[in-house]
Amino acid sequence: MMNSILFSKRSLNSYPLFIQSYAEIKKAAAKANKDLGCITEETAGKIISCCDKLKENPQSKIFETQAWCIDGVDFNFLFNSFISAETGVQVDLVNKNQIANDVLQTAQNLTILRYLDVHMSGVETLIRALREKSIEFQDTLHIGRSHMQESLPVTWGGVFGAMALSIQKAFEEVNNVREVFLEVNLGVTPIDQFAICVPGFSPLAIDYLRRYSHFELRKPKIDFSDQPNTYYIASIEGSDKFVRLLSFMRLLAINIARISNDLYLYSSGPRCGISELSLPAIAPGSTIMPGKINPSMPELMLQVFHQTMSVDQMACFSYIEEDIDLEPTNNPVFFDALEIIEVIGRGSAKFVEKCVQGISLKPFENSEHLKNSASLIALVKHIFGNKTASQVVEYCLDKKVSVSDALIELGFANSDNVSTILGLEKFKNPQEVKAFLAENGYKD
Amino acid sequence: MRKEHDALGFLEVPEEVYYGIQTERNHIAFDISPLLLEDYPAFIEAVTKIKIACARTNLEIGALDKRRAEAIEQAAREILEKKFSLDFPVNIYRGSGTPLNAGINEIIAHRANEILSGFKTEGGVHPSTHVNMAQSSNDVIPTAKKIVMWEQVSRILKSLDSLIQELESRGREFADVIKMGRTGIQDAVPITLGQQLNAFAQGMKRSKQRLTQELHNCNHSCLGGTAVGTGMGCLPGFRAKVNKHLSDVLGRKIESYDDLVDGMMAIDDLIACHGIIVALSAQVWKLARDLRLMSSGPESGLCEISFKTDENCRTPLYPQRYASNSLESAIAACNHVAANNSGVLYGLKNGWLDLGACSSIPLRSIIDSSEQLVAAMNILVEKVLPSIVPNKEFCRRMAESSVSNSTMISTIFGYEVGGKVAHLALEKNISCREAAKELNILPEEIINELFDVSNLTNPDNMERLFEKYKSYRKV
Repeated sequence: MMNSILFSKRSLNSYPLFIQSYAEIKKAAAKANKDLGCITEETAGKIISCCDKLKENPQSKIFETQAWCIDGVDFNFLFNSFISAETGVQVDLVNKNQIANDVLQTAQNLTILRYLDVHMSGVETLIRALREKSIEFQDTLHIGRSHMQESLPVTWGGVFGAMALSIQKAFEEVNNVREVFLEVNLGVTPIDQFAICVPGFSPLAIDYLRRYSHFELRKPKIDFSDQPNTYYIASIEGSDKFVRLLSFMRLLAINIARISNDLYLYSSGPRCGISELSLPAIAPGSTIMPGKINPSMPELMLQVFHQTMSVDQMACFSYIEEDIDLEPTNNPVFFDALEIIEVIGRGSAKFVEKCVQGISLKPFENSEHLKNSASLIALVKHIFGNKTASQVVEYCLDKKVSVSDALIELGFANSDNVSTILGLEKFKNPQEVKAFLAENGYKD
Repeated sequence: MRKEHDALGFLEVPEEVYYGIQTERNHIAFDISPLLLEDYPAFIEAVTKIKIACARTNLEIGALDKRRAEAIEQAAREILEKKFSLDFPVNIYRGSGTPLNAGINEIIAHRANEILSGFKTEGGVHPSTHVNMAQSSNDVIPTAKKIVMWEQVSRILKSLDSLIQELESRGREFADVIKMGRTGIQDAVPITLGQQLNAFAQGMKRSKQRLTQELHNCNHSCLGGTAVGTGMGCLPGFRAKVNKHLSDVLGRKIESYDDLVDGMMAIDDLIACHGIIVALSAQVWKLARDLRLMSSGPESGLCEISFKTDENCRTPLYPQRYASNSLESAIAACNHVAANNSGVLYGLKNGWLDLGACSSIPLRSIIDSSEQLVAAMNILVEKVLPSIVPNKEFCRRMAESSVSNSTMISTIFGYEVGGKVAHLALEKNISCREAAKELNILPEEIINELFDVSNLTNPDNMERLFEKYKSYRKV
């Protein structure tokens, strides 16, 4: 391609897992072709050993082409010519029974599965790290907020536990979407009138591919009550796999982003903000303000989310573009999806290493915010009724004293029982709070 | 390895590199994708040019001595000459902002020291004290953002000019290719291929006008605002002089934002600029999509145009497919641009209080969008438009056969009579001209004239016809 027409900054060599997938497919196809008598044992042997070498060392000068294709013809051509040049086997024999498009679709699926395997462990690490934090912080209360305004206390353990839970749920959905990619259509393209597979090629090739790739691959399932071509066409025309994948990657990214936003706010400070959490320093936060530290890791994860939103849209634009029998533009979103899987996974791991593990609570700020919170008036109201509560609030604001001091000074409590009335320890256990409130509710 | 120190402590940096401790820290912390700042030289160049302007300003106001200022400028020029293109290992995610500004300060300081003393860390140039004098990242990055926007828009304009020219010239060539016009992809009234291509050119001229206007909006700077726009950290004279120097460096007039606090927290400009790019991408998308549909064939489809076979064509069984691939590449690229708009919006809607947005994704998106759109326009100009071959005879036959041509009769005799002609044409599978003749509505030579499709695509000719035969009008 001419330099003026550059659709991608990256070459095929930057995607070794993709090259490996092609090598496995070509190997499986050669093996199946040999079994079917389409190529000789000698030819198959040559192709297979070439594919094995390519899998070992997944790069070549020939793949220095931009990672961009429309219907897979270019990529298939590249791999066929690579194998042909290395082995002396004719291109036609290398490509026997394969069509550019189903090879591409199968290679995409294998690569997505590999990327998920390699990178999603980062998300598991994140879930684990948040759980550990929730245990570490299980005994520390902080003032909860709604509409950014103080409400009743909750434990940090609960806050971090909820963070872990939201990511856990999204992660389960991502795991389910793997199913979509286990269904491959190697050798089952019915659209191309010029490429008719030898009967039996498809199941055989997929069987070999399952063995080589170690993924539980299967061909599109056929229900005999449907028209014969239904599932074959659906596997190409109806390939909404990237829309599904991105939907759940988006779910994952948005949950991580939400947590990042919260950490961002909780850590606002160090002196003049909410400042209840402290995040580890990554680097000096400013080139002119000495001592400033920025919440860089939450920012990083937010940017991962921003890019995910772009790619999610790209998946939709690509899918709706699919006209009649073939989705011509799904490959660009395939490469985008790889980036997203990678940055969510690697990002999560870095987020844990450089931020989550090192989050600490600021005990002084947390206890001051609890002690001074105007929301304690909710307790006063519950025990003494609305009228008393209004009187206490006015007194607090007027005299600039805390709720507990106001209760004592106004004679509603004494220094002995005020800590029972306003004692916040009970908020560590929701059952205890409920029992206390039920027992001490205001009665006319 | 050399040991460097910053506010957080000591860290080792490879001896041969020019970047320093902060870049090393950011490199380690944000290493999450294969895409690095070095893949986006537009960012790097914009910030480097700002560094030159600031060094000159600090020299002029006496804040920086000549020795240091000149070394800083020389080091910066070497960055522009791409001598340190591998010294930007920070990931593009979280790469802009302070990491970018601090990274360039470090490279310049190390190189300037080397120029002055032969050693990277001796020579008296400090990355923050001297190179970064009076520049917070919040001044530098929003200003760099404007420079990047200006450059991307300029690039797009260049390719857009060629596309408009090519469309107009092919449009003139195809002025006599009469074909079916369609609405809802159903037969409507005739149009020429020339009119269609020319219409795309005219629409794109509107985009060109918007983009040209946008260039003027990109000539604003935040320099001198320092951190939140209140000027704290600037020495006397800096604010007044810096934009003159930046204008010299960039070769165009740069002015300060009227309100620097606004300049630093502004998020609307990138959204508006990307919006204009998205609008153009949608026009290019429609062009590519329409051509793809018109070329559907070769035997059973709309078959209105085909493409000269490219010698690179690798699938001789499908001579059309190569051009189709080019069109589909353009379509996918334009979809990328539209999709990037989400990243721009989410990215810019992430930021609190006195800093507009800290995400590098919006800027990355605008660069990616420009690259994709330029590639899409270039592929149309270089590969697709020059190779269009209209199937002229077929197009004309189709245009003549349209039942909607009965519009000519309904204009003269009303909808009812027009409908009769259309029904007869449909029923007997004949053209409207033949149906009108059978119904004896008008003398034969008038019917022939009225249904001559070469008249039907020209509003002036049609007016003349209606004027000539107005005595027949019965509405």
